[in-house]
Amino acid sequence: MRKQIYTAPMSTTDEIDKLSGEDWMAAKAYTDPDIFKLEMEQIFRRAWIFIGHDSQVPNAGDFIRTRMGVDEILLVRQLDGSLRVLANNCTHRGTRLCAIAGGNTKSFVCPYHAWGFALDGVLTAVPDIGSYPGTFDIKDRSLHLTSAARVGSYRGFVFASKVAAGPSLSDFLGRMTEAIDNLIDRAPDGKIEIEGGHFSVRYPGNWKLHHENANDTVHPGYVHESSVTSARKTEGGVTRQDELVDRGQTKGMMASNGLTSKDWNAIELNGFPQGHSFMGGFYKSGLLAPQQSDPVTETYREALENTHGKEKTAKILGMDRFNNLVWPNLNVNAQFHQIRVVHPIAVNETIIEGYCFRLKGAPDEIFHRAVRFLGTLVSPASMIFSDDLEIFGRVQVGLESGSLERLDNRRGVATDQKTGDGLQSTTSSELPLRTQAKAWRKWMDSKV
Amino acid sequence: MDGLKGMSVIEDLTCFLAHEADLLDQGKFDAWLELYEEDAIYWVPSSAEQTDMKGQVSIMLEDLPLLKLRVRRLSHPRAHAVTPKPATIHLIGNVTASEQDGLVVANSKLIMTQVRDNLETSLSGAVTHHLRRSVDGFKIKLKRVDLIQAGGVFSAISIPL
Ligand code: FES
Ligand SMILES: [Fe+2]
Repeated sequence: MRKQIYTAPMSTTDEIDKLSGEDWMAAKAYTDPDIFKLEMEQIFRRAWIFIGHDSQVPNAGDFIRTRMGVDEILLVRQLDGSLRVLANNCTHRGTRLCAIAGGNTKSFVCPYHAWGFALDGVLTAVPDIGSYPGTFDIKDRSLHLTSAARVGSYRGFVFASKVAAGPSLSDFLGRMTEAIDNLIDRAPDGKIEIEGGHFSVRYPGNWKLHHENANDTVHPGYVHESSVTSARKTEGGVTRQDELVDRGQTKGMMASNGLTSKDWNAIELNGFPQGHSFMGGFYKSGLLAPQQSDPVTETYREALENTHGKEKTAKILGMDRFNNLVWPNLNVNAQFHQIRVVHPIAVNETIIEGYCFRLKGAPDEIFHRAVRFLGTLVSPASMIFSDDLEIFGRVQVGLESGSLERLDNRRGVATDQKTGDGLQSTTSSELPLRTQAKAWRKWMDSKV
Repeated sequence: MDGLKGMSVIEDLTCFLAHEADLLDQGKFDAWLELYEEDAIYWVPSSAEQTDMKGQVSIMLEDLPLLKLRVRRLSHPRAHAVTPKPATIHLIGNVTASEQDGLVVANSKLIMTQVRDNLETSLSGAVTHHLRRSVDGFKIKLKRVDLIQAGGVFSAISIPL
């Protein structure tokens, strides 16, 4: 029999207002499994969730297995070139259909009783169909794999929503398309492809903690103090071997986190009503930094100039933004040709995936530099990220076992400036947290 | 590649690898690095059968200067990821050896068990050491650890394998 027609749990404005306000979030919002469930329904089913990149499924029949909130899904390239997001579980008895990470196929066949589904999710084969009663109709849509109501792509960045109604993808992304545009503009051929493997890193904390931390400009000096001091004190630390494609970059990245109050007050923060935010760049050295000059960078710059001309190239390479947080689950580091994706697993468990891109038309070494950057920053053994993960775990333990009722998001609230439909700050503001909390309240309210 | 089957070579290598493991378990990271050649590479690939260091991400790909940075950080009083310090056992076994380009190649298996804050985790893998014979035993030119967990989901890793 099929799944019941979905009815969303109700959450009233009053209830949500007890969980978050202008400059605070309730501890419960990070620790209560029921609230997590509600988030999965209200946010990860309804909002535009980042699923993957075009280049992961280039040809008809290509698919990857990934997640949309807690639900496993398949991103599948259709015969007509379009994309579908299908639930990865059989409509017969719920069995997980596909257990491999991805590949190319003509159909999905359930391992249990071999029901077969076409690439678009339509049920096409049922062994021993004659044993079913007359009421069983293989064409019944309820027997098809559940397909996300909306799949949208912004220049190859694929998002999905399981509901038919809601803002358009472009309204949802707002100005965050600037980061995606900038990443693609950095490719001389105007094409980018995910390549070079990826990381999946688990932390024992709530999913919101990742985005709340990513544009927090005060934490680096404290959380990353051990790597800052080590980088500053260790003589050498500069790789000698070509295979490592590092040449002091790791050391530079570690040292860059040593921000003083003067430094963090110079980093511009921008937040938008959709929940997104971005911060100015702070890695002032390194192989992909705007200031970098070497033969590979020069060759690359020339290739870009051939495409865009000198002036536009300078603009593209000069766009110095670090984390571009697309709420709720994507982070774009355009300058370093990377993305990070947030997958909530449970109220106190999250997986972060890190990927990098090859910029088509750029020298191989530009890609190798992006690979190296990903390794230094997002590897589970990263000397930088591992301290962030540790802090997420400590916040979680603190909230679960402590007496704190509200997390305080007030820093910088008096100095935020209005710009367009967003807010801007040049102090170490918690503006990105307030922006995220606002979007959270909006989507959690079931009437919206 | 010639197999080295002499009992004494395997015994020497087993002693050497056990010594390396012991230095890591005791947190004697500076002494650990003394086992490495100046131009050594320490490599934990991100996937099995990875041959490409540049075009494929690695969990760790470091040379001596970077390892020195890593080790210095581990002993920093506010290295949060190692406060409290994890207790580890690096258990090595199944040692075999061969000779390649004048270097001794030791293959072994590793199980690293870690306990931190009452949480026990473990990582396991196949390890390859490329070793140069020196007056006082062996020096490491390349250490490669192929974790069976490679390609999957990891929690943070702080103590070297
Ligand atoms: S559960 Fe899939 S065919 Fe029976
Ligand atoms: Fe951080």
